Amino acid sequence: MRYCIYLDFKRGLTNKRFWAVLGSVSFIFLLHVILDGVWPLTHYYYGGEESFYLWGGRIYTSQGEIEALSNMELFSDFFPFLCAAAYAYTIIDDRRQGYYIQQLQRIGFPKYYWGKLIASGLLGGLFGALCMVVICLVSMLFTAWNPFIREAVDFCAGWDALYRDTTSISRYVGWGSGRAYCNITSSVVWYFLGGVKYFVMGVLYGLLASMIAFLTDNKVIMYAGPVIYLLLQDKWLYLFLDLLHTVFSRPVVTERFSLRSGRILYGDLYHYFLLFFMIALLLNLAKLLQYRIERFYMEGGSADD
Amino acid sequence: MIRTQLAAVLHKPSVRLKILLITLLFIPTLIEQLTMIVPYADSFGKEGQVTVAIMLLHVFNYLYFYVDVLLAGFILLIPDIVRDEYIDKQAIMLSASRKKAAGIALARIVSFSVLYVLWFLLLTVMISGVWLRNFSLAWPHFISVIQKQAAGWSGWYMQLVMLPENCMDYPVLVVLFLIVVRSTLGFIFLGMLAGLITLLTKKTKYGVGIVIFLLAVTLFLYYDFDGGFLLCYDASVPAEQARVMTDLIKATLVPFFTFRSLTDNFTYWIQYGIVCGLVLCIVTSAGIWLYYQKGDLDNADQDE
Amino acid sequence: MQIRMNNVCKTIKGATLLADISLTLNSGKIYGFVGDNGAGKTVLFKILLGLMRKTSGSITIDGVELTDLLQNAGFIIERPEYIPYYSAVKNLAVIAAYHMKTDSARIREVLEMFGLDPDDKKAVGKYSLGMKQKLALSMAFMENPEILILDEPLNALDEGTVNNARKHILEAREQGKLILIASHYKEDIQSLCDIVYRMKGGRIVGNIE
Repeated sequence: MRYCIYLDFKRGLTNKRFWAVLGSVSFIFLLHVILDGVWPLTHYYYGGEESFYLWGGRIYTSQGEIEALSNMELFSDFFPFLCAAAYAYTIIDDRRQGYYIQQLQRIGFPKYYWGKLIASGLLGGLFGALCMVVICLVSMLFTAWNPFIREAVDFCAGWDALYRDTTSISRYVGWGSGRAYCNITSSVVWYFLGGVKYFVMGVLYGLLASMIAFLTDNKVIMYAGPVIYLLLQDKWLYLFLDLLHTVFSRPVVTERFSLRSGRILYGDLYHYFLLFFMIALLLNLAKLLQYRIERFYMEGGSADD
Repeated sequence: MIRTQLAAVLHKPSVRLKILLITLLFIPTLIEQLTMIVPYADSFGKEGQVTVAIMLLHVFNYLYFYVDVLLAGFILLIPDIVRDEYIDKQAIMLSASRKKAAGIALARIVSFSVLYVLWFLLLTVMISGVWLRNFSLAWPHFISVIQKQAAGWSGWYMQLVMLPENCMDYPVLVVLFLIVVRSTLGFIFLGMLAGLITLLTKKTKYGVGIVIFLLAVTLFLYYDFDGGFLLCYDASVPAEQARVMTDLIKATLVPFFTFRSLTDNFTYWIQYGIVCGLVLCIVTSAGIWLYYQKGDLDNADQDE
Repeated sequence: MQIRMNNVCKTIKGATLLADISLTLNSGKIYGFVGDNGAGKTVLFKILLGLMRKTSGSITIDGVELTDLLQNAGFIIERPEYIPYYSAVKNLAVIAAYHMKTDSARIREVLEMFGLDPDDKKAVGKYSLGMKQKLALSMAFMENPEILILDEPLNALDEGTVNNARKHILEAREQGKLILIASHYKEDIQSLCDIVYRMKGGRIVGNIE
């Protein structure tokens, strides 16, 4: 089994599609950094109007950019899609081309099934963690040359002091930002935690996408499924908790139970608990459905049959 | 003929699953908006009363709603509406002529887009009507209060309900009709663009990809630039900068699905959205038509 | 009916798929096309159907230039086309709805003709390869077309159905239809065709009567 997972993992990692998707994400981050910082600062440097250009540039520190990039609406909306694109598509490709028969004949269905599922989860997770690495690299590389860096750092320090007590800037590890056990001051540790969080989220979406791929054999549903799932859970949970007038306030519900990870959740153990619970649930579901999917595979059905 | 094709598409189990998922997503999102708008309207005191009309205007004029539900759902359905996945060559040959085949392909996209909008229009009326117990189609007073607030603002001004100045010069049904027509044209354009790209590249994934790309650019410009580049809410932004930003926004999907600011002129922006929609639909449909006349219709791919 | 092809060429991005094809095809005959993979048989059929545009040359049907889709033709090209979630009868009914000249009795008849059970409610997606091929043949014959263009029509069929299908193809010739068949099987070609054209690299390199 371990060897099957290794083979699938290697196949995903050496596939240019994995790196092409990561490259596209890096390009979007790069574009954001350039338009957000490099462009206004360059204009200011060459005599542009201070009130406009300096405002954008002076918050242009690596820390500010990392936070801006990891909170991008575009990134958080497409994150599940990206994790699905990490490896799960091979399940459908192999099926369409009949390649799966060659593999099944050699290793049997259970090894094929679990190998693909776990490799897809791990590659989704790796993709998520790599996104965090790219965010840090892009932000650090493009802020190093900022001629106003001292002003920017001062400005951010002032900003940080102003909002120190609110959850938006504070960094905590523990059961929720309100009841902190440990206040993290090191940025490196914080971003490492961010990487871990993206890894766990990536595993969840990778697993989910591969389950959908096995069940539906439909590429569009496979790619969009994790995004739709994320939105569905967000909305229905919010709706139920709101209707039931629970003890949770709305922001708590939308933040803590959401499957999107904002920067304030990097150290939130509630959120980790939710993610691990979902992963365990998915793995159990995969085990429950294994026989059904095996039959479906052996009998040659598909989503539209 | 088109009815047979539509029926075959709607019978597809994967299409039914997609429509079910979108509807399941639409319902809580609509209720979420209702739970936000009711207290928002209450904050205007006696003036505040939410009606079905305002929910319809809000849902079909709120970019967040499109991105999270309506456009996401439409993208899911694109592979099913741009071509006949299973009996492509048979259907083309049975159309008798290339002109007729092109007509069917265009009619298929148009009718599907219209049905798509109508389905969610109906859902909005039913759910918000039952939730609010108010099926009134009259202008609520609080809209005029918002507009008075916006009138004293020189920069960009955004509120939960984005109905810009002078929209109340028109009857509510006219405004609603114009907004729905505008977004329907937006959907038709996106469908036709996806269809054209699918024909040209012979790959459905590129047709879907172009729509995702346009949506990503729109999201990128509309949501993700609150930094130095687009300090659009700041009245002190130089006029030149504001103009560049407005032009950029006009080139995205925003004019089809919402207004940029409450300080916009309703008549101008709705005209711009509808005219652009019409022109783009004509251009893309002409592209599809020409391709059907001149191009090879042999092999659409099997990748979706 | 007579189809005349004069110097028909097809090139895509510089690659020549068909070069100088000149043929005269008459009703009441079966024409066979043989050749290696990539010889141009399927492209020739698609151009004749009007699905692909020729780069140069002319195709006339009874003296009238073919500028659009070929009318009154039944065909199998590349792979059987079917809606996988419908039954065989429903599949044919969807196709029949285009011209509305085929009634349900004819649909049942044509399915039985090729050994399929019209009362079978099973979705076609669950059919074996051979059954899908039978459905494709039923689709091609259903509207009693004047021209039949069949690309590998007897693939994946069992012996009984092959003999049955051959019989129906020969009957169609007796009824004065123009039939084109591409096949890799010598036996199909020998038992069915009046004239056989050998294709290579997009050209016709020989014919046997």
